[in-house]
Amino acid sequence: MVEKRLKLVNKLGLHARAAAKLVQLGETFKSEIKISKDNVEANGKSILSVLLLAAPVGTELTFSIQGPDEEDAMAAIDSLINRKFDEGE
Amino acid sequence: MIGILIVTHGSLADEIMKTCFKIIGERDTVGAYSIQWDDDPTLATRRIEKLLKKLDQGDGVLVLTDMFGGTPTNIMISLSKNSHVEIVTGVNLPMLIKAVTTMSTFNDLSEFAEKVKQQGQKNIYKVSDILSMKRV
Repeated sequence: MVEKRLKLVNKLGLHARAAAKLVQLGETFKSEIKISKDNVEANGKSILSVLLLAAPVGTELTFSIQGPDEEDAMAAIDSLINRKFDEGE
Repeated sequence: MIGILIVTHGSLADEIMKTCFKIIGERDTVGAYSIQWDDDPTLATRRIEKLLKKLDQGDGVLVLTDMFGGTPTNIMISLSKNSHVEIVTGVNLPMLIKAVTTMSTFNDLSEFAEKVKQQGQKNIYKVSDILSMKRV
């Protein structure tokens, strides 16, 4: 299992479209993806679950990924978040 | 493959579908029919029937309507006698997103409709409850 804390740097944080992109990216990997914030844990492959995290800009999320492609999944997610979900700001 | 059709009063059906597509991307097996206030119900029924035929790829169509007892639901009940549909009322955005993102994983229309109904109900929150849960 790989675990990493990632900080949201895009202006709107984990809003609906960003959550959809994150989930769609996660679905391309076989590994199980869990995202936690405070005492709430979300399934990284379910948009409605991810939205429950209610995470604005600056929030640190803990990603726990387990499975055959866990390293690749973490790298891809890290990149998406740091590219500000390709939103430009 | 199961199809999805949203039918409502006013422009809600088209707008909620557009909003859903904006978030998760467009899908071609999802359709909407907004019954405007001055539309002729007989004409609307004929058009919806055509749309249903187009959306039914063999496993039936899940119809999401706005409110039980309203014209959109009543029209769908009348059409259900001759087509393979399940109707779930009270369409909301989380319900629609869940339905559209999981439609390809179901073969059984009745089971799919039950799941979508549950998700629609489950995803209504009193926000202060969620926020106080996070503070614990």
